[in-house]
Amino acid sequence: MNEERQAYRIRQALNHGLQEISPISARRLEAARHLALSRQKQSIGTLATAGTATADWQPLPSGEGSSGNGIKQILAICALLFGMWLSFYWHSDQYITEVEAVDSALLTGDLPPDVLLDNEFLEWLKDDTSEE
Amino acid sequence: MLACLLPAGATPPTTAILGTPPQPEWPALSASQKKILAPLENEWARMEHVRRKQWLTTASRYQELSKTEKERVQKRMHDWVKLTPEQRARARDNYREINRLPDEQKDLIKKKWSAYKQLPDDEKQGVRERHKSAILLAPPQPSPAESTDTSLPVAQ
Repeated sequence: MNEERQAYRIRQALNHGLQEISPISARRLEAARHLALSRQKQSIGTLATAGTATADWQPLPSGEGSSGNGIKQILAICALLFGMWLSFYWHSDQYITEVEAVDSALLTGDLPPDVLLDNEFLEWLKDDTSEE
Repeated sequence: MLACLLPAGATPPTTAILGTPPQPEWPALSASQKKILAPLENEWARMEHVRRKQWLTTASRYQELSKTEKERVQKRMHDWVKLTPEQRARARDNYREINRLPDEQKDLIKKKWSAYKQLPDDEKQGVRERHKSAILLAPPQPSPAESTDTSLPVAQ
C-alpha cells in the first residue's frame, strides 16, 4: 500500500510540474523529441538496406563501404577468368598431346601420309580376299 | 558455317587455341630445334601457336627416335605441313582406323604396301586395276610364261 501511495504522490508532483513549465521549454522539448524520433527512423532504414544488400547485385557501388565490395567483385571476376584460362590451358595440353602422338606415328610409321590420304588405295590394301 | 562442313578435328578446338600461350618465332628457337624443324622454316611464321607447340613437342622427342624414324620424319615433314587441315584430319582418321585393326591385319597391310612400293612404277596402276591386293603376298610364279603379268606373283 505504501508503494502505491508513493507512486501517486510522484505522479501528482510531475503533473504539477508540467503545468508550471514555460512554453519555450515545452517547444524545445518537443523539437528534441522530433529529432530523436527522426534519427531512430534513419537507423532502422539503414539496417533494412544492409539486410537486403547481400542479395542484390551492385555493379557500381557507391558510398560508405562500397570500395571494399568493389574490390571483392573484381577479385571474383579475376578468379573466374583465371579458372577459365587454366581449364583452356589443360584442354589445349590434352589436345596437343593427342594430336602430336598421332602425327608422330604418321611421320615415322611404315605407311606414309600420302597412302593414308588415298582411301581407295587403303581399301584395296585392306581387302583380304584372294583372286578367283 | 564452314566449320560444319569440315571433318571433325580439321581445326583445333577454340578452347585449345585460347589455352595455348604464345609460342616463339623462328629466330627465337634454339639451334637444335631449328635443325630438327628445318623443313618447316618457311611455314613457321604462318603457323598458329597450337601447331607450333605441337612441332616443338615433336622436336623435344626427336632424339628418342631411331635413325630410320628420324629420316622418315625429315622426309615427310615438309609435305605434311603443306597439306590442308582437312587432308591432315583425313590422314589421322585413316591412321586411327588402321591402328584399331588386329595386329595380323595391320602386318598384312604393311607387307602388302612394302611389296607394292617395290613394283616398277608403270606396273603399279595395272596391279591395282586388275588384281586383288592379295596378289602382292602370293609366292612367285613358277614359270613366267604362265602369267600375263610377267613380274607379278600368282595369287593362290
